[in-house]
Amino acid sequence: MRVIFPGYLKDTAGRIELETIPETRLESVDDLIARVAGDNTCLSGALSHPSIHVIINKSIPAGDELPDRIDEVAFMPPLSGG
Amino acid sequence: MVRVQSEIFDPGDELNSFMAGRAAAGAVVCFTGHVRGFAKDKSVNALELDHYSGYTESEIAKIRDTAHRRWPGIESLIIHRYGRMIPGEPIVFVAVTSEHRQAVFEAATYLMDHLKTSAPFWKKEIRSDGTVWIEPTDADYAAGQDRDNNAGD
Repeated sequence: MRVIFPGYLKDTAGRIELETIPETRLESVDDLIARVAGDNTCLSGALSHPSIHVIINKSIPAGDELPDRIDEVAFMPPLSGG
Repeated sequence: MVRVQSEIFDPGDELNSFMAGRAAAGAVVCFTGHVRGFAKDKSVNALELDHYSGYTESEIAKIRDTAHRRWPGIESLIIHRYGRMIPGEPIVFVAVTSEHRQAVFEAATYLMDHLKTSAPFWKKEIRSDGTVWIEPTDADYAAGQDRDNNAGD
């Protein structure tokens, strides 16, 4: 699974993207954040912020349930616009 | 056509290429946005624009498709840059052509209003006093909302 951190989140995460392989199926966005952030409480807090939108496989997920297969996820902070 | 690129472009060349062979077009409106050299009384040394490759292009294409449905018969070109830019450089280019002027004025305004608020970009200004991530202003949101409400009137 490829994880993208655009905008200010790349500063928080210390990188623009990372590769992580989920060991088990992720049931929720909270599971996803826990897997991505690991022990980094600062990143976990940033990713959990209500202004952050989660994009999965380049689409906005319908509801809270995650798809069985996640190839790519992006945590999008509020847009600056063009 | 939608292009998202890091390379600098020449707005005049892009307009000429876009209009080449469009003999039926009676009107064209083009807009070029440039990197400002100041923000809130602070000088800006550079602008860094993040995008989400693939997703940014598809979201801009949705904005374009909506405009083409609302103003049938228009043709458009949208170019948006990402990466590091310095003041004075072009950052965005929108050209819209059609048979008559009203549709192209309205559609070009619609496209720019929605690029300003809905296109997946994240701006960081490198100012004289530090770096700042930028969010759309209330005026940007209001302009996009007004354009939605008035579209097709």
